[in-house]
Amino acid sequence: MAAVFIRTLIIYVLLIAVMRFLGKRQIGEMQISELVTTFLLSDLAAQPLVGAGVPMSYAIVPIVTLVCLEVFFSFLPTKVGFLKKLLDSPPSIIIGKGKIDRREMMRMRMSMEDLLCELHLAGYTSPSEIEYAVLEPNGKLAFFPVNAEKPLTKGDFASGTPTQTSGLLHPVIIDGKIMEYALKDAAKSKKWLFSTLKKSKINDVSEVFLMTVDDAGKSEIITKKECTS
Amino acid sequence: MKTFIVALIIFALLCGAIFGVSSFVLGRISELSGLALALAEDEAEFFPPSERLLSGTEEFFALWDKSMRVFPYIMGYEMLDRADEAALSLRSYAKSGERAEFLAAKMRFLDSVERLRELFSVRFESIA
Repeated sequence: MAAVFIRTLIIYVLLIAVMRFLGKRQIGEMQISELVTTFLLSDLAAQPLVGAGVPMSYAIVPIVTLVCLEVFFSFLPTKVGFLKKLLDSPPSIIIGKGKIDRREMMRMRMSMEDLLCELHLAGYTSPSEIEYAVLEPNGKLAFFPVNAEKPLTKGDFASGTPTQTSGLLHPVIIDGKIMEYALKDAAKSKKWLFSTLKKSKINDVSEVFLMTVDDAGKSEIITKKECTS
Repeated sequence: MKTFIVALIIFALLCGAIFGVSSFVLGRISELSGLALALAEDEAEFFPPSERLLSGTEEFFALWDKSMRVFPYIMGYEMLDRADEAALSLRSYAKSGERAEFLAAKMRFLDSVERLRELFSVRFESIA
């Protein structure tokens, strides 16, 4: 009995340390690999607690291995380009500029019923109210309504006229890496990208932490120097 | 970046610990197999049990008993039980001088530790 008690204490402390190490993301915001790892961790942790003949090392070794791998594979794609392509799925634009992309929906195995359900849950009645619907890598759908459906802000009251935004911001450079999918979504070329950087007196893509471009072609650049390290 | 480095250090330590533990288990298994193989088999040693047979078996059993204090931290009892049962039989049959049962227990023990050796060796077969 005492052995089970001590084992439970050790596993509890290990799991707390491991979850702290993994980060603060809630289950709903986890990437697929993180979700799988979390489920595996709970299963592995239970093994030595329910089976007296199972040594503690059968839980500790796989738990520590999985957590280390999870940290490696969440960190490395941010630094190694091909790993990012291999492991991270970019966001998918399901509705772009007010038009439903059926091909992308099929690719994401999303039916019209699924889309309508998500729309209703987000408080919209029709796809025509949406300018952009983006399926994020964590599996959640983000909706950006057309200007006519946007709620008024304090700024709108102050200026007297509602702000007209120009669609979605496409992140064409993230942490010094060109996001090919975002360039494609924004219908921009690399030539445009480099000329825009040149205009901002930036010679190397690696100097940029974030560069976005909206549908009207307006770009915003945040360099690494501007960020706190 | 800090988390990545910490994870890298922990992973390296874990790999080192696994290598160390595997080396220890393989070394101990070789030692135990050596002692078991060296145990007398001649019929003359059993009627009555010779001093050589008894001291050899006791030396073997003492090492196995010592190992059984450490092995359960590393592997499950379901893997150890067969070898443990064989080691106990080996000791009791040596004392009672039952040669046929002693030899069968010896074979069972050697086969059991061979399975453990396979499990701890870094080989494709061990993954199964």
